[in-house]
Amino acid sequence: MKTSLNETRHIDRCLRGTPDNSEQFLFQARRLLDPAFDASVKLQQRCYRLVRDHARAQVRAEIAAADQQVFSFPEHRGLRDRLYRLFK
Amino acid sequence: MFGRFQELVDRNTHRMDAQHTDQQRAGLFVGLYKKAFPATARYISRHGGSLDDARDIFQDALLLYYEKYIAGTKTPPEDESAYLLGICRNLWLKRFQAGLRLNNLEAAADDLAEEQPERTSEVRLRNLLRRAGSKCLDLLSAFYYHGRTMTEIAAVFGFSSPHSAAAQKHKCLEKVKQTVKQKSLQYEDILE
Repeated sequence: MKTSLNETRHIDRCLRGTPDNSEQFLFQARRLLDPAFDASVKLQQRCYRLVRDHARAQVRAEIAAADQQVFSFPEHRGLRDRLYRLFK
Repeated sequence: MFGRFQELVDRNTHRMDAQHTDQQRAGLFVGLYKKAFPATARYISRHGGSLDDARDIFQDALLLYYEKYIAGTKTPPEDESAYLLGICRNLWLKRFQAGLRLNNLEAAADDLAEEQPERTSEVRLRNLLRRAGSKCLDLLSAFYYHGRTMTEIAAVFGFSSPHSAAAQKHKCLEKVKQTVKQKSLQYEDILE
């Protein structure tokens, strides 16, 4: 578990951090020479995409909630009336 | 405390406590609606679209704006309304052109057949991860998507220091990675 955590941390630094040139070079070389390591890197990239999609879905829901607020809350009635007039 | 994000929130709504980032975002989006949506609606109306079209387009534009300037690293434009209107114009043109292309139903069906399986498995995985521990996903989102610093994350998630927050972030990433690995293998078993 500890080894795996260290590997995750190392991959994170190389993909998302600011590794120096030699670390980046060794990282790329290991990807080419070690298929298991390369698979681990790809798995981690997939995790980043899943995290992004999770967060993006949340933000989308928040934006939809803001839209609902504008189109239903009494305090935005003036704005709504202006908008409805544009589409008459 | 929240740098660029806070500056935008202050510009559009009012200052809130650092613990309420979700409410801050909600306030920011409502503020941008009030400020920038009428111009977009006018543009869509003049180009033959409906109010629903305008709402859809504006929501996509807000997401793009958020990812680029608030969660992202770029400096926000001075005139947000004009910038959002620009994004909406591009999105509207793209949608119009896509609409023309969609007349070819065969091509559309081919596209769907290619995209569907991949998307379904990713959505299923995301739901599983959420059920397994949304706090970890939220922490990872805060760092990788919303662009929060470890100091901010420590304050919002209640860690004693940025260092503790960073350690937990790595543990969460490892946990997600192991779950995805395990579940992916299970799905392969099911599919075989």
